[in-house]
Amino acid sequence: MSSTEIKQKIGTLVGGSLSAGLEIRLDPEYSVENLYVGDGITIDGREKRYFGIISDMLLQSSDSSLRSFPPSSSDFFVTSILSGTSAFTILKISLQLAVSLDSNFDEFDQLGLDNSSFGPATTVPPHFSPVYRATSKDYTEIFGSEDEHHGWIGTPKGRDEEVKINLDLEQLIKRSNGVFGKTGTGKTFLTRVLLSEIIKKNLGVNLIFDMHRDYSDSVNDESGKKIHSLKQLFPSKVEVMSLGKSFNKGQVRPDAEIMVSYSDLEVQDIEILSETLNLTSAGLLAAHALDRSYGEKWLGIFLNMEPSEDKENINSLSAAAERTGQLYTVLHTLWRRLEILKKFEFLQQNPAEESIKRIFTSLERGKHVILDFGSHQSNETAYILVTSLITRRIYERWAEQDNQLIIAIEEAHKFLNSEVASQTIFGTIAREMRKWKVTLLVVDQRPSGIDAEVLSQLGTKFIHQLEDNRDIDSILAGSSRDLRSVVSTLAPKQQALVIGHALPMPVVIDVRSNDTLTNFINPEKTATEIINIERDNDDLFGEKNE
Amino acid sequence: MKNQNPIAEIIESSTKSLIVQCYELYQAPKLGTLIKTLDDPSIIGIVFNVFTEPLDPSRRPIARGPFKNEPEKLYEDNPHLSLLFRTQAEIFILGHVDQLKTYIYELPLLPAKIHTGISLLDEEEILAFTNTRAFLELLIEGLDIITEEIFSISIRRISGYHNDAEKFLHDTGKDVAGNFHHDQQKLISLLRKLGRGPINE
Repeated sequence: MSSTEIKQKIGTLVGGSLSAGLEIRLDPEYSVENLYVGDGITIDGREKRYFGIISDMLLQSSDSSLRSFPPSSSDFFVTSILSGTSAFTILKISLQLAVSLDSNFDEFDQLGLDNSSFGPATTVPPHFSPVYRATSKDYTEIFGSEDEHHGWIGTPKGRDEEVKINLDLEQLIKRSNGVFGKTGTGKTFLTRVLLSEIIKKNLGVNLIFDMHRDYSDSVNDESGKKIHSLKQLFPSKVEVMSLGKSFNKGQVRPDAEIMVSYSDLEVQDIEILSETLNLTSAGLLAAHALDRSYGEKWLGIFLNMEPSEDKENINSLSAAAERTGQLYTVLHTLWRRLEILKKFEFLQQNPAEESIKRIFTSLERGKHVILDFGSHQSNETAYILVTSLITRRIYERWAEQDNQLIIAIEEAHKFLNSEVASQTIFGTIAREMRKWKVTLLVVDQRPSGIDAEVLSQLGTKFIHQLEDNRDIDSILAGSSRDLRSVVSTLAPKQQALVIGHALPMPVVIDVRSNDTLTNFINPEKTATEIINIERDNDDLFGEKNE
Repeated sequence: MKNQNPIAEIIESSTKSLIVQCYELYQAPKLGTLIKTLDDPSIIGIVFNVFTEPLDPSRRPIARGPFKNEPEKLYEDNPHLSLLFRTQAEIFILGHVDQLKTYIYELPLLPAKIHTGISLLDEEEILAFTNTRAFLELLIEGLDIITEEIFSISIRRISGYHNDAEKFLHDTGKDVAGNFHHDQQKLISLLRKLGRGPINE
């Protein structure tokens, strides 16, 4: 579709309602196979122009006898004539927006609508209003052009890349958002697009907990094509930090190594691990008792205790049980289950550098930080523990900052399930919205595992293909029921339904291609920049040991 | 109006239909042929029935055969026979020409006069008259009179004059379907007949 595309009438409004959707009879000459669920349409009423999306398609006939005695499919002449006339297609339309038409317009195509005048559709166009497929001009009117706070995320499903869907990133980052979809649908790629646009437009700073090294290092897509890392895309704006000394030769050299002190860990960080480590409620109560009794260094002290019942030994679990008033068996079970933490080399009693401060300083300077979990990437416990801990500490300090902080987390249901969401820092951030200028970008394949209240607080949702009905129900709770059929017809890859406050109406997008993300990179310049940045970092923070 | 060669003459006239007697025995316009009356305003119609009968209805012919081929020799040997019969055609009216010489796809307000001559529309006239789908309106209305078979023969014959006959048939089929909601099975039967393709002469 080019900028010179002709506005094409596809049908006529014949019925329906605002709540249940409008019904459009498709014109006989227009092939239903050129349309799809989720496609944008416009309806020209007498006083307003309406915008909506196709939510369903129904094949109907003017006479029930056609169902009982259909013509032979081999009789092409008869079937081709009946198709579109006696047997016709009804499009169900979910009406979204309306804009008043200027009274002195000559032609609808000459309107030059002001998108600030768009509002939710609160009425319906009259019977027999003409219906058109949305043109690139319509999409531009609705979603705006790319500018300092509108970022290009994709193309309306089935249209070519000249038609751009631009997201209001300034609005987006003011609230927590979510990217959902089953494995392999392109969640990570879309997240990379969103983060790239936020970085490019300097609208906030990102703290990305990169569990699977998706953002810190380049990866190959399924066709073997290289997808650049955020660091390669924005070498001067992005810092990669590794958890512990966990990066390998050949990988992008991290700007810093993150070590965590036992004293940074609080009981709520342990609580979030209760499911992963199979901690009992008695064990968690004991952890609170230990915290009260031993202070902030309780965990380091506790894990160094001897699992002995010798009460004379003050370093024994038995002595701790007596001191805290807990049962020995409870403390012993807790000790055994937390013992796994001792294997994490990034957890230290007295790390040389206060790593969390290092992260904070970078964020404060406007740098985007990717925390690469490196060799811990398959360790769920490490991911949950560190993500929770660092987020809480950064959040506590961020109150005075002017810059918006976006924290990107994967496997979000681990932090935001209904059992722990009320207790974790993530639940707090998701519910408090923009109060502290900290928002979440949650990435998850199982939205039904996320607390319903948290889901309802998400500002904008990017929904890739989902198969489980529970996931679809939970993600669309509160949205129009019509969108359900839209989600169920999404392609398996690189296609998403986007709904929420960062765009005027729901839209199905083909996510912009990788090529469009990298075409502004000058490889030679990038390599030089990386060297320069590393030199700067060495000057600032001292040389790294490899 | 170009073709002015009369081939028949009106012997019965109403605002809906005409009966014409052909000047030559058995030389009637074929079914589905478009004709015009040679008066002013001219009436346009389509042949939907052709029949030959004795001039004196009380004297029914008797068999003279058997004949293995056409009975031409019988007519040669008995030249008076041709004078005892007449060939007639029934015409269904599809419109008329107004004073501005434009086609009006409505019934004439008054019938044509008895003894007015009729002639065939030539190719240019056929294309001009059927250039708009409006010519179908009265034809569809008269389906019960002219029958589906004659309807389809008419359309197939007209399509043969158009550059893209198949497209003409298809588009006409769409128009018919759009006006034919009450009996889909009849519509399918009609469309099957249309689907036989154009009649070229």
